Amino acid sequence: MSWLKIAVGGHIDHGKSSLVGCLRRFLQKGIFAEGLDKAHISDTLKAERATDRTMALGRSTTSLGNHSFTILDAPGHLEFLSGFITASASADLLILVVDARAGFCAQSLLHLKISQMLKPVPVLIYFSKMDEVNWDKSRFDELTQVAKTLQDSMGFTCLNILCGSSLSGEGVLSSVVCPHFASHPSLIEVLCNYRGEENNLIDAPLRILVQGNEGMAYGSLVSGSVQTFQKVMIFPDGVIDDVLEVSTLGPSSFWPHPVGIRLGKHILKRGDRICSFDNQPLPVKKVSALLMAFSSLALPLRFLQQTSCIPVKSLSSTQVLEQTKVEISFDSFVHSESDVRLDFLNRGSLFDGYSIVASLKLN
Amino acid sequence: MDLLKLESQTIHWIREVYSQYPRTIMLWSAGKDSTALLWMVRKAFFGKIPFPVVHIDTSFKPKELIQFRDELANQWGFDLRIFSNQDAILEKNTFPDHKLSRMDCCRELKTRPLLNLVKPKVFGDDRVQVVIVGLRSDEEGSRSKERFVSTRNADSLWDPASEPPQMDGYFPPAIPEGYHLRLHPILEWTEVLIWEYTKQENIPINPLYFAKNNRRYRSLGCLPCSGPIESGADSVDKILLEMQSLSLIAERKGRGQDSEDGGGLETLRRGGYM
Ligand SMILES: Nc1nc2c(ncn2[C@@H]2O[C@H](COP(=O)(O)OP(=O)(O)O)[C@@H](O)[C@H]2O)c(=O)[nH]1
Ligand SMILES: [Mg+2]
Repeated sequence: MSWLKIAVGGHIDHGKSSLVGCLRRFLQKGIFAEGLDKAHISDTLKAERATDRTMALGRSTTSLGNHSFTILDAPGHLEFLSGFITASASADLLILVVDARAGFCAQSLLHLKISQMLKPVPVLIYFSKMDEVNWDKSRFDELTQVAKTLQDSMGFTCLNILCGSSLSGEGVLSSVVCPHFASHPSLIEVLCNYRGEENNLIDAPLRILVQGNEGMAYGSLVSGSVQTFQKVMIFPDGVIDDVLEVSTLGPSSFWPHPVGIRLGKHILKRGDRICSFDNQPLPVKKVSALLMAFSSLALPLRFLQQTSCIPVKSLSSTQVLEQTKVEISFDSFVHSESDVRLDFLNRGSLFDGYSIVASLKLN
Repeated sequence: MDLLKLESQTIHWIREVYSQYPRTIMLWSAGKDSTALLWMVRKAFFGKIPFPVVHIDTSFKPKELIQFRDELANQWGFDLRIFSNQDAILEKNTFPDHKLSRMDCCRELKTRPLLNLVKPKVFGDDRVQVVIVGLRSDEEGSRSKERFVSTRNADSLWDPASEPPQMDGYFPPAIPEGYHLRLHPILEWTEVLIWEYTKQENIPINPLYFAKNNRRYRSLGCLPCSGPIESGADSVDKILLEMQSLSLIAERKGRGQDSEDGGGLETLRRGGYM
């Protein structure tokens, strides 16, 4: 049994929804009417069907044998970027759809950049509409060269480079007939064989982020493992305590990993971080962040420390329209990336077409 | 493995949103999805359900469903609240009374009581901030456009294309005045996965899902608008076996309101429906 979450990104009209429709028509056999346009399988809103463009993120979970897939069909328009940000923040894999005729365009690059900033997952590059270029091998090679150059400059993991036609399913559901590409696996084969990135969260030092307390504290095990009678350190208060009771759903090596925890003396609250006493984190006061903002408005961005919610640094979003690296100094110590959160405190801004992407690194 | 991952994601979202928005309530239809969700809420909070559980009673639900609802509330000991649009029911202003279309009837008997729940002074002094709903993205088209946390404006209207960006497992504790959130913790589950989980956890299940006289309900709603399917499956195991061929047909096929409105629930749901 496996479960894979896939974000589908790429430029407007390059064939994201058609690819998703092609996969879903195959995986959910018999559900969709014969004549239904492939793109309309995930473009379900009336406004989307009327204008032939995806406006809201589409989501579907389907299974093939022992494999379950949640496919996230993102809109390509800059106006609806919020959909792609949401998809790439949670996906395990990005399929970047690139129209074989047009090649890499503005949103292809932007989506790649955002996904690698938010969650650097492997990328499967798929050249769509190969039927439109008569399965031209030299065009494929040319595009592959561009992909390789991008990979070198951005440093992402490329799972595979495939091509196909989402209308006929060639290259997606079956291998390509054209002999040049006969050795390529089909896209669905690659998805079924993909085992996901093994993360060694268990081997890393203990970090629990406390979400709240309802008789017993509950939170998420970010890394490491925790046992009863273990001596732990609680930040930001800096107190030392013993673990009395731990409850989990089962052994698991992925995030989120919900835990319940009770300590000897200390009453845990939202925002507390639990670390191992024997392997304490190195506290720092400086964090660097990679930022990218999209806004027509000059709204303030603020960095917060999770517990205090007091802004420690403010920037104007117009200062970071391109990918920008900033250094942030905190008054009190920071122990892990998850201690810092970026927020826009201007309440209305959530709905002003305003987006911000950030990745944080402890210095 | 994938059930544990899905369960973890669901429990994480319930905890994350509830801890930031204590004025949370949950809708429970007593069907298989929201009962599985209720089970996960108990797991999230160590056996307790820390918020009110609301059942919207249309008066047209099968009596076995109501009986199951009351028995489980008793057995698990949670704070069950029942709401309905009594005026419409008394004045027989409904679809079964031949006064309204199916869609308008849903709007009167389900959307209206739901929208009343988020008004001030219904639960305590302040208005409810979060309504937890056990919907799945694979149920029908407009639900595939939902987010884990989905915003509803001051008139409870939904605009899927203008939802703010959402990080994985986190929603900022700032929503505009009058807005409320819908939390959809089982959004990425499917019908089959819910049945597999129900089996694995041995979750109590409404007997209407099991075949009697060669008929059973695949999806439960009001009697005049949801029909049983032909089936001999009288256990969870047999339902799971049957699912292998049933997945060929949409799950909500028996539901009348889905076939109106150009084949979708989008209009109803943009207006606040669950
Ligand atoms: N010939 C051909 N047309 C395609 C292919 N994929 C998509 N299209 C067409 O390209 C247009 C845009 O597709 P759509 O999937 O909506 O693009 P999106 O904006 O990336 O989601 C539609 O008219 C599709 O029929 C393909 O592989 N071959
Ligand atoms: Mg699209």
